[in-house]
Amino acid sequence: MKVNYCNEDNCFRLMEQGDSIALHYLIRIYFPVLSRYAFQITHINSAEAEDVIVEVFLKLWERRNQFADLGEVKGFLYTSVRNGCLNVVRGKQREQTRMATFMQLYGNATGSDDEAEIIYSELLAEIRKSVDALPAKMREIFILSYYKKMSTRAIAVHLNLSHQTVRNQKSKALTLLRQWLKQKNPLLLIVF
Amino acid sequence: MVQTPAGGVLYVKQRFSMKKNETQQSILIAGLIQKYRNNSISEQEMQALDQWRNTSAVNQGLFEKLMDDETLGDALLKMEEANTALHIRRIFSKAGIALPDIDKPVVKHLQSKRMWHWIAAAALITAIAGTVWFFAGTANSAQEKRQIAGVHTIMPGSDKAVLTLADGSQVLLDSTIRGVIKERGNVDIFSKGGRLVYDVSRFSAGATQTIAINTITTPRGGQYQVILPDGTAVWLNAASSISFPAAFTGRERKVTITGEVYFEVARNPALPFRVSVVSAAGKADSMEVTVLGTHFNINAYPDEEAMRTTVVEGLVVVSKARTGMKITPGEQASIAVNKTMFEKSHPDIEEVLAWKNGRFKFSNTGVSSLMRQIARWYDVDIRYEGDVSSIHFSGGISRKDNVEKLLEILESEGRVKFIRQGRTITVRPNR
Repeated sequence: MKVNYCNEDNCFRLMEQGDSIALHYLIRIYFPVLSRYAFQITHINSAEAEDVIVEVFLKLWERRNQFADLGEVKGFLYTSVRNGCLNVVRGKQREQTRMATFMQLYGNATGSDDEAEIIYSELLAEIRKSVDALPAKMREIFILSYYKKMSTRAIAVHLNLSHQTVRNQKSKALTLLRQWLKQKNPLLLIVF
Repeated sequence: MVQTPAGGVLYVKQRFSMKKNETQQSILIAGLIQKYRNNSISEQEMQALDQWRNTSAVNQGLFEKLMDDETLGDALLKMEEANTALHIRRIFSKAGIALPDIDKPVVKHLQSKRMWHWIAAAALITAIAGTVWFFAGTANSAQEKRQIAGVHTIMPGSDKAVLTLADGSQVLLDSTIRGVIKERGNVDIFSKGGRLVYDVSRFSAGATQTIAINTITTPRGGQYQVILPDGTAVWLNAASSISFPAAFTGRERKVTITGEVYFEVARNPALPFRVSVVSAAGKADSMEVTVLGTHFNINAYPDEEAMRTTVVEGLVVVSKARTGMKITPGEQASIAVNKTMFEKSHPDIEEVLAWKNGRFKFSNTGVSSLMRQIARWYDVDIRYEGDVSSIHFSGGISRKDNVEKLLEILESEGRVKFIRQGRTITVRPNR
């Protein structure tokens, strides 16, 4: 039977089988995370970073049978984005002959905080995965209320739903996230 | 959930190169941190996490940063605003594969222009219900109404400060600082992850040397973060300063501040942490804040009516002259200039800490208090024409937005008018 959803547990198996929903899943979780990561380590502009990340995902898909586990896939994503961005930086460095200052600025910038940035990025990816697992409408309401901090009334107006529906969806989303996350310090629950 | 192999961080694949090992290690640590947040961490994993945390003050600082839901929430929101659907289409078309049919549309509403969720409230003199709340969209017409006399662009503040070393030499700190600054006693100071870190692992006090005192000062329009030698994390708001020894010795950890500073004190019951706060009236009128290990904010700008200490976590004792007060999480102790008693209140913590999380947040905040925050962050001067004391605002905005946007939103509510001349903003009631 073909499953029509992908999550952390079945992602690796689906990718090996060549099911494109695994690629869809990895892009929607990791693309924004990798954009942020690229900027943090090299400060290249977002369009340049996006080009690099697109190429990395294409390469990932080509090599989808060459990984031992999901950890290696994640490692591949971070390492390839880092190397790709460094190439962009090196390209610029040739263009602008101000090599010495550039090396100082960017040469040191890479690597030094890399560990921290990967840890930060991975934690964000983990949280994104939990939110991604919510049903579509619930997820949207969750994001608007807990990330955007919109009031229940504003969300109801914005999505053209009744006040009560929004309230129900909000509390269901929290119940689901609690079950999955068992958070003692639940993300953003403090907002309300 | 991350599938963390048994053995935690020690698990490493032989065929990985060095760099790959580090990457895998970081991914494992992130998994452990997520499990810690979820409360699903095993004892063995906890040991591995503790071991990593104890390796350096930087790791400890990062760990604490990752416990902060506000900061994570902001980063997550930014990601939701990214146009992920577009990237998905681009990659699938380049790879020559059809888009799968799945029930995961990307949230569209966030990709459009940022919707201003700004609630402006003005206190009515007749005070039917005290305040009137309503929503305002982005107002473009306000732009035309405003008389723009100067051509200066007023930029929002950024990460910058000046570090004054014991010998009086000064180092400009900003986001590009690299390398190691040497302080006497073998203390290494460097920038990591956007904050200044004190490495005292090789510290040795010379026979007759006194401990070096360092001062970090932010200008108006600046903010900075520093990890003190004991691992305490410090956030400096604009126009603020902190002085501290390059290594903590003796029986207490003593620092002196001005302006607004948020502390996440590293726990050490044997070595109390004491903050001396210089008041508007000068050193003689100082306030003292004593803690063991806790999170709290001190706002003591000379142009504010009172010095306010707000506790987020733990227990804090404030004292001044002969008076004192104990405060617990959620409580704020304020003492007005030249007053002898502290007053306790329960403010909106999110509002108190908004600056640290890169935001302005106002809840029924008076115009003059709000304009003081704007003056410090955008480095502008404020003048008043007419009485605005009855006007209050509620709402929030990112500190990264430029001042025009903020003024526009405030103006769109129709209660005040701003006239900009160079770096001076004149505020007028709109009648």
